[in-house]
Amino acid sequence: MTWFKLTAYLGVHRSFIDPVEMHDATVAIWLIIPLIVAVSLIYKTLKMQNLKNLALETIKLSGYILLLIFIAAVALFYIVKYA
Amino acid sequence: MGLPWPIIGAAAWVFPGLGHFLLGERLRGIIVACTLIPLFLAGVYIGGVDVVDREKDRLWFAGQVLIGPTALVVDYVRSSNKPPNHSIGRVNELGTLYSALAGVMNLLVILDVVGRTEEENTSSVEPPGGVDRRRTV
Repeated sequence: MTWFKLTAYLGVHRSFIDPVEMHDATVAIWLIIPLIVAVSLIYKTLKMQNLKNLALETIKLSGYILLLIFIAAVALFYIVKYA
Repeated sequence: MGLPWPIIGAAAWVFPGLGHFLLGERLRGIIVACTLIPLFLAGVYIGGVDVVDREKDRLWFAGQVLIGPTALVVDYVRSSNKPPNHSIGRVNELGTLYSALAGVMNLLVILDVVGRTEEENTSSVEPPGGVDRRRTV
């Protein structure tokens, strides 16, 4: 019996093999923030000549992306509800 | 004259950030590595190995494999995981999104490092005071 089979039959949670348990769907929304920060950080790291103000620029870009997502979400909500 | 761009590009694919590191842009390389690798691993942690699936999610896999051989290893682990443990719903979506975005962002990194290598190799054969190719952004 392989390690995979043994742990699967025992019902042990295997990090990185099994998905995490997420009972509350609202938690998933907050997981978008690290994703946005990572995308902003990589974009600014590649784009900026001098990395001195990297943190500030990353925060600014993350804010813009979040704001745009929020505006798009509100617009889509009203389109779905009233259109 | 530094390393040729195919080697630098391949290094950036094999290990995100290594291309910049080889070019001497060490801080940039460390930031890329410390962002993209945890981003990909976070995707696998959230959704399990099932988020990287070469057979069923080919389009997503095309993005994920850009992170490097790590995606191939995760796919191999998934295929040898018997009985298979499928992740479904929100965790699968999030895990797939995390890992695919990490791969696509690494494509940007590869293109950037290839461009920088070309610039460096071209400027090294020009006379001093030649064309100014510094980025303005």
